[in-house]
Amino acid sequence: MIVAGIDVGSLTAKCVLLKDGELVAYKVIKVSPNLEETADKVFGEALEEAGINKGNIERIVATGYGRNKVSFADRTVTEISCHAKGALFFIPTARTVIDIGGQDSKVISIENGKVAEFVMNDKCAAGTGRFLEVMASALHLKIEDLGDVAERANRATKISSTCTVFAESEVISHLASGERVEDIVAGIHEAIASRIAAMARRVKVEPDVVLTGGVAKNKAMKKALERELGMEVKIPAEPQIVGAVGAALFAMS
Amino acid sequence: MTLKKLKATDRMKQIMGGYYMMGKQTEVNGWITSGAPVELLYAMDIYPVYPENHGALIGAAKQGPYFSDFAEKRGFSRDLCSYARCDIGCVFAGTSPVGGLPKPDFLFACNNICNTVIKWYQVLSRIFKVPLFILDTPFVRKELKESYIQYVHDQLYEFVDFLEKTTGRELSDSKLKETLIKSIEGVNSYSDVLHMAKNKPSPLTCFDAFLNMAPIVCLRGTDYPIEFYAEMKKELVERVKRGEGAVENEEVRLLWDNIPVWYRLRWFAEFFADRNACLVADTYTNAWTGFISMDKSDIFWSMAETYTFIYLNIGLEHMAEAINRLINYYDVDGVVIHSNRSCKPYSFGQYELQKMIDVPSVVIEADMVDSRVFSEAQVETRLEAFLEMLK
Amino acid sequence: MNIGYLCTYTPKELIDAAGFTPVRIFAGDDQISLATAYIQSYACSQARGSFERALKGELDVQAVVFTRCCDTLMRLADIWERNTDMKVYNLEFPSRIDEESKDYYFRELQDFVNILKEWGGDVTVDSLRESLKLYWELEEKLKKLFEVKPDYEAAKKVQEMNVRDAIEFVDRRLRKVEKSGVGPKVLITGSVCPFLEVYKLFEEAGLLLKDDICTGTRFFTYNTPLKEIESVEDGLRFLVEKYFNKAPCPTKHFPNDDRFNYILELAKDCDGVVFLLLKFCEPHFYDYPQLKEKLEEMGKKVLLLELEFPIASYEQLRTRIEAFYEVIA
Repeated sequence: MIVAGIDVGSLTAKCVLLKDGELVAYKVIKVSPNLEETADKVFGEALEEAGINKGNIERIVATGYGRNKVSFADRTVTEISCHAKGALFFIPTARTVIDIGGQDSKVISIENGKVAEFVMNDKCAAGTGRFLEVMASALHLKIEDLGDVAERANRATKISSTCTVFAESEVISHLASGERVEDIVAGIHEAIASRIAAMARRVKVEPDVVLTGGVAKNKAMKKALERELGMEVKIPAEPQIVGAVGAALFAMS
Repeated sequence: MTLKKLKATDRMKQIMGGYYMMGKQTEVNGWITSGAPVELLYAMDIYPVYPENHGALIGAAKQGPYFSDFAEKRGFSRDLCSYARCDIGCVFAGTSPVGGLPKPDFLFACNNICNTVIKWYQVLSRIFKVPLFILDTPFVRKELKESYIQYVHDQLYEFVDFLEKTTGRELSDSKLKETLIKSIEGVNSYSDVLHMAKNKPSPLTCFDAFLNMAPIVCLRGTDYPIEFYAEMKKELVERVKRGEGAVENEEVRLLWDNIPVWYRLRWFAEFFADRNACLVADTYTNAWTGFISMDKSDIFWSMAETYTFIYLNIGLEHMAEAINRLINYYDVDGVVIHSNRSCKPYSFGQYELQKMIDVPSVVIEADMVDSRVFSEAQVETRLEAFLEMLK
Repeated sequence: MNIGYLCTYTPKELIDAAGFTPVRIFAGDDQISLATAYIQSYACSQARGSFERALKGELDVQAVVFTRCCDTLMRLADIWERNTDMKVYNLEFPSRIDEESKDYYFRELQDFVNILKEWGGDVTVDSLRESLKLYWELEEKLKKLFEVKPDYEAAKKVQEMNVRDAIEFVDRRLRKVEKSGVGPKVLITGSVCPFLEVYKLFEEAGLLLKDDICTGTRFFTYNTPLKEIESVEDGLRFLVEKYFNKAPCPTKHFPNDDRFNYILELAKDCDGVVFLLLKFCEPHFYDYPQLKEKLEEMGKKVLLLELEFPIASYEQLRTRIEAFYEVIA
């Protein structure tokens, strides 16, 4: 049985194909303003990569912020359930999943292979991928380079603002007062990690803790989170596609 | 899917239309907060004006940001309560969806629902230059002390003096008794309606309760709620007889916490109905049930007790107890918690309540009237995930 | 035992008379993190920041007394009690300050004396007499100090120490203080501001300060002269008068708009007024538009600075304050 999971987030769209429970192909692309087209495109590219015909896909499940825009999906499941399922696929011992998404971050606690509890950020964007994006642009850096820059810091500059807009001007004023960019970037990581850790404390945080989402590739973020939580944070082999894998697993059942 | 409408809602609109009309013709009126003892006003034929109900109405008409803007332009912060902002905004605008509220002869704020009303009514008293009476009800974090009741009791007498002096009318004991009896009957009739949700499937949702709560708030102490809710109950009994639920295929039963998101009432109702989930009850409309415990020997003492131990004026342990009672009575599977930016006493402590109540819960961030802080995608994802978790 | 409190309507005299040390709780310098798991981000940063320090174990207090200042602190009491080892008590200060609420407040004070006893502290007529006198002395000395030159560091520090040490501390300051220079004078008004750098920004901009701040003059401005007492009850009656006549705060309701009149009176000899308001602080923000209007009618220039603790960017504040100086100078 071949199934597809499609995760349309606010920044990237991912498609995963599973054959009898094995990962056969996946694709990650940037989201365009037209979510429907984006979903179509990422699905097509994944099929091409696997050399599989559309007609052979038995079921499709969509997830993510744009899940309702995937008109060809058989059903939708939220990213909370999908991240939990996907995380268990990569790391069967996972008990806590942290996902730093583009506009929503979430902490999910898993019991007996199911979502037992979850919390998400309040309305504000601090503690989400959006926060990193805004800060990267304020510092004229690429978002994917932030982790490496932070690794070169001597110390972390304290970022006090919890509001993204104010934090941006705070970062600019740190620059003006001669702080090193590396230290500021490290401070940004700490600020996000502390927001996430605070949120995580509203549920039971038990090991293994798994970090998913594109941000998980950022080593500095992993370390900052480990410091804040006081425990090891595991990263799945392909952190960005965890939600899509979860969706595909839902398509199997 | 189309929502099932209750015929009662049309009748409610008539009654409330009449209530607002009456306000334009009445001789004496006082602006009053939703948790205040309105019986004293009705007993003296003083028309009560409810700015909070007016705020809800503006919210439901999706005009919150529009009227709030009139207040914000004058320097009132966006972080203030959106009922207050809309109300003050309407005063500056000189109108509202019901053509504005009649100018008050006096103001009456009781802080058993929040301390915000003190500040809000102070603002109004400076605008209208009319007297303001504050009924100060101490916060019952743990124990309802006798000294609290005594304090409120004495203020009720003082308030009667205030009313007599301000309006030149006199309060008759028999009229007060009669009003209180009507109030109790109205509350009973209203409670009967809410209790219908105990049935499975439930013949009403909390959205029906929200839509139809205005009479018990604004007209408590008159004949209207007694008759109206009896009528509404009949309709619900019919549904139960037919085995008909408010939501088709009721699979999940939920409880709502906090003031509704007025500008999205329909959206929420459809969202849950589409997913076979029924919000059978809520902490908000239930705050007006079991309202008066009347010990006939000292009416003022009973009123003082009742109005001090009101849902928003009690500590978290008392609140959790009340929520668990509802969970148990209505047999609900989960709680949807509205973290309402406008209402701090209702919202702060919700994270604690989550740990104190007997079933799982989810928090959504919104505001009762200010639609600018509502993010549909965020709310949708949280609620869908919660339902996936419950099923 | 140290007993923490957040609001200046807390009767410190009774705590001291019971043999405990009243310690004011302020928000700290660190970003608020732990507290966000317990209370929403639209609670003010004084509430969240104070609780953050409690959660971090930074507070050397074993009990906390809350008064009903605002909706946020009303709820914080329960949250605090459930998540720290500290004892929590709420002394329900009346929200209306007039003749009708005096008896009620008196009974609240009696109850508080009993609670202090449960906590192991005995209020006797002698201990109360001494505490009343010491606080009166401290308040008079702080007034004197501020008359020469406002000293916000001293005002803050004395709130975190025993009243006897506090008096000595102020004495030392009084010996050193020099009158401030000349310049335009501004009234700063708002709730709490324990971040001393903020006051420095005003001074560095060349402005002389006068204040209506809860961590400034509102901490020590009482208007009831010290009275000899014969009994504890006498002392409690005195405290009722003292706290009812203190510098008024917007969280309370006074007959005749005392709060507005107080500010308008303070502003008379000032060139401008700066509202130093904490984001989400409802009591102050409700007053702001109408108070501003009245001040402007008096010909005063008005500036609003919205703060969040810890203060993220002093430079942003500096620009605004310097620009305000340019407007009024």
